[in-house]
Amino acid sequence: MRRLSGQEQAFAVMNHAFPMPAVIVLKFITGPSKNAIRQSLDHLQYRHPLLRASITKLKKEFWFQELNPIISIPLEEIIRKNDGHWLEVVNVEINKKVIDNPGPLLKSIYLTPSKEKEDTELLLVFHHSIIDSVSLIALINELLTYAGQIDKNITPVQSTTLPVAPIIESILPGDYKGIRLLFRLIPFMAKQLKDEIIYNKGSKKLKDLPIPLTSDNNVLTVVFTKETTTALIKWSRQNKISLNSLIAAAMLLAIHRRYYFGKDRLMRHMNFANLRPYLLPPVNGENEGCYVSMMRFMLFVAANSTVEEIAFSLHQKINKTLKKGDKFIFPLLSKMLIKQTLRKYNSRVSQTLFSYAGAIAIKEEYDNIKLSGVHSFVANNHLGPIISGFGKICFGKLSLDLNFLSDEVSGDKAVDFANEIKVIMEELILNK
Amino acid sequence: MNQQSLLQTVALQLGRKKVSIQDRFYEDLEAESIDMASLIVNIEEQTGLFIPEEALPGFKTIEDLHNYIQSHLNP
Repeated sequence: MRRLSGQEQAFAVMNHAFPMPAVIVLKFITGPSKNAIRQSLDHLQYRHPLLRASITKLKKEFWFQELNPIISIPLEEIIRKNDGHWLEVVNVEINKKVIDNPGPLLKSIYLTPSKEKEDTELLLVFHHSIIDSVSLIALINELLTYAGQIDKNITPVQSTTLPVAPIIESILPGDYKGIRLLFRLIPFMAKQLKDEIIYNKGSKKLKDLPIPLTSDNNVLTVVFTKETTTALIKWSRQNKISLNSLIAAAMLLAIHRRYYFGKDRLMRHMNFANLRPYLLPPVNGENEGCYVSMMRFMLFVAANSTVEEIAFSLHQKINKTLKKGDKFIFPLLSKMLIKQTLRKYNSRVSQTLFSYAGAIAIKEEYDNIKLSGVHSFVANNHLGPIISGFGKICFGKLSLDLNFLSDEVSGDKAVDFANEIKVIMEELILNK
Repeated sequence: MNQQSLLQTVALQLGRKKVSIQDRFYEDLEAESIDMASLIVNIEEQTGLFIPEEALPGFKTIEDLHNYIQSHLNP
């Protein structure tokens, strides 16, 4: 089909070393029938080529390969025990590797009610190389539109199968290809190297945290009320700081307080940028694949830094990286970064990692289906950040899907940690 | 806020000499989400509207934004 891009390869390499799935949860007040989900998955698989693919290794590179014969997207059914059962299932699935060969690269689990009029949840477990937040939202819309129609005995219009979208490297703007890329790459790498030296020097002095030998993922969710969400949006607009930077700053500050006991230090943060609209040609959300830039930033957090100061500094750095065009270079080097991290096995890639999707274009109703929420968790590992998270606004409420490492933070400690992040943000709007 | 003043605001915000009503924010004008947030603040200050985050994914072109402003200023 096509070679995986640098970023997709990075996720594939990671998935071979540690579990690396993206687990999506659709929470229903009135869910679709199992039959409607089954048929909808078949429609999706017919339409989207990467849902009919496996990943194979050829001369040190990973390639998407069409399944022959096609293996249907698995749909497992579990009888729901209680309202928290879905989180238990997420915690099991997020600690399993995605079987990329023979594939397919998506499986699903439906938590069906044990009694009438009970909520239900559908889990979609993806290989991260085929999905990003833009294609995920398009896929959820398509899945639920099909399922809603099928449950009303309407046969969905069977559209033609989509072509495989091009690899990101082939559709980058001209300045990021061929010889011209070199002029961008050299100063970029020099800057990265300089940052690395400065960071390592600073970390040695402060004795960085030991890396756990291994660890499972431990996920939980924080949801803000509609009122708090609106207040946070207003705060971020008034202060000209993106909500993304504010949330990431709250995560960094919580770590700084708990792990570094408020000492001055350099910290690293990873953030994602959507590259789809800036490619030539732009890549539509209905095409699967991972068209993101995993950007890494280093910032100084002083003993008395406030969340506003950290957010402002991060906002400036992200803005500069986006404007300068470095967002196109990061994905070219992601595989190298991951391989280096795995080879050296002596440092974490960052303290925090955050992906923010903004307000997601998902409806509350699809025919008779009523959706109450969407959550998205991506696996982490002991060489990854201390906390990773996915943020979005869904039906007017900001929610953070956080992932801790169980060897470091588990049970009540994780709940306290998540609450601390929430409180840091809530205090901002109380103190304005 | 009329169409002309919106076009001027967008051009200024995105550092463009000229923009047209059908330009797409991301694909044609290479706007970043950070630019869009600043643009929204700018428009809110000029119009007194509060534009919820849920409306943002619907603003593909300047025209989409213009239609939104018109329908909310003159419901």
